[in-house]
Amino acid sequence: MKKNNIYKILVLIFIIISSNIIAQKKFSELAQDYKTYFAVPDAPAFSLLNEIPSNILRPASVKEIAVSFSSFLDDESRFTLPKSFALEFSPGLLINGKSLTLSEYNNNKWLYRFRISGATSRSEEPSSTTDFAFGFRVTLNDESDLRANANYIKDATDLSEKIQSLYDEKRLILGPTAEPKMIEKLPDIIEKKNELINSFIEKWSEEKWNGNISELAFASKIASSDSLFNNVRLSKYSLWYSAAYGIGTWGQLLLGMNGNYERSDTSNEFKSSFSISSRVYIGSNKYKVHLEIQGSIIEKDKSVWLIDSGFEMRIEENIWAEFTAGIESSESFQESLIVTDFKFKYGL
Amino acid sequence: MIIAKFKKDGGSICAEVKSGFAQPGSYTLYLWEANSKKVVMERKGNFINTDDDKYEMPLPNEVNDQRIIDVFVTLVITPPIIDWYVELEVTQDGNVIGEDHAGGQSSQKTETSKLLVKLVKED
Repeated sequence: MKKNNIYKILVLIFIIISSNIIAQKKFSELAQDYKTYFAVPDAPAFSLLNEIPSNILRPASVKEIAVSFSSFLDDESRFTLPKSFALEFSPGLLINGKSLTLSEYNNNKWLYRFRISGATSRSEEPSSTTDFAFGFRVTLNDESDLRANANYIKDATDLSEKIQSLYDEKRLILGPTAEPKMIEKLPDIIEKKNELINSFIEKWSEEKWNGNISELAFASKIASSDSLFNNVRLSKYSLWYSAAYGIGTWGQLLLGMNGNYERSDTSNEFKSSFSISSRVYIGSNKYKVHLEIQGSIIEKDKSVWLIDSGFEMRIEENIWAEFTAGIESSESFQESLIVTDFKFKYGL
Repeated sequence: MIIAKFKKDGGSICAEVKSGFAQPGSYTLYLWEANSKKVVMERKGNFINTDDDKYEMPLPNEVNDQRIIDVFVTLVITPPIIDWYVELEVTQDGNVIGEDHAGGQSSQKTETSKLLVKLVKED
């Protein structure tokens, strides 16, 4: 079987398994309550493989698992199976999540925010290599993390206590056989509960999507002559520092630095590069547009500029789509290249 | 219904309420009289601190035969983590004699669940 066919089958299996997980979790079960989902972050391993010109690694609060697909468009801009996908997870949340209390989380935030990522990509060219990448990220500071916000925890606890009181009134009448779903259907409970939740949402729904956050990340790329890890060799190392700053309730400024040490395809020697990027997001948690400017220095003597723009939107529950288009130009601006990227991501 | 068999001559029976995935919330624990709608004991708590979520059942142990520990827990689901898990653990002399739990992922802002354990005296 050809390498590309094996890859397509693996991607299909992955999509089927992921769809089953979504179905089991009943994401579409309840629509009446407000939902807040933060954008799925770019995993370091994914950013390393996803050969887009932007070198900024967007920081984001920790999720248990996040999955990214990219490159849904082929060279002729037709939709196709994604060429790369990545998985990022927090080992602390996966291993200890069920018994993780608020105080344990806040006493060891760095541990639960630490994430490991893995990614793979393939090329349409039959003779090309299969690339794998592994990375990790450390959150240095995260003001958008509601679990670490004492005011939020107090308000959330107050809300739960008020809802509990509504249930308690009915439980005392109905006895130990009363079920939450039975009580929830009572008209006076629905109305009072929705009032309480809406009041809470008004205060907290969009409060922290653009909170200040900073991260450090590292990833390395391994190239193999086939998908069975034969003839592997380390081909690239990358280090990122990213910081995001909130602008009112409507925007976010991202600043990033990225250093790369990469093996040349032709000479087998390593070359280094360094980028500084800034990106501004404008919008809300659910819909936003961005503008980005980036300057890169390659091997101390060649500079490249990138200007791009794009939009991000939440399609369904915690499924996100992101489209970016821009111009990459040499120092003299005599050679320019139009670059596009389309990502599809979801967090479990 | 989960049955917790206790020794009438053993130590105190304890019930502890726990929440996972660092989700904030609160609960009300009722100890119902056997085959009745009469509440013998009522305790309220939250998950800001975990030190105070363990409760001793009335003594002597025998009086708890056929009584039901019934806990309603309400969590405020705090994204980006949308997993939740709650547990009622009943112990005697450090041994777990009964446990009920609920959990999953939620697309709601709040999640209320019921945990139930019936206390039965060992023969």
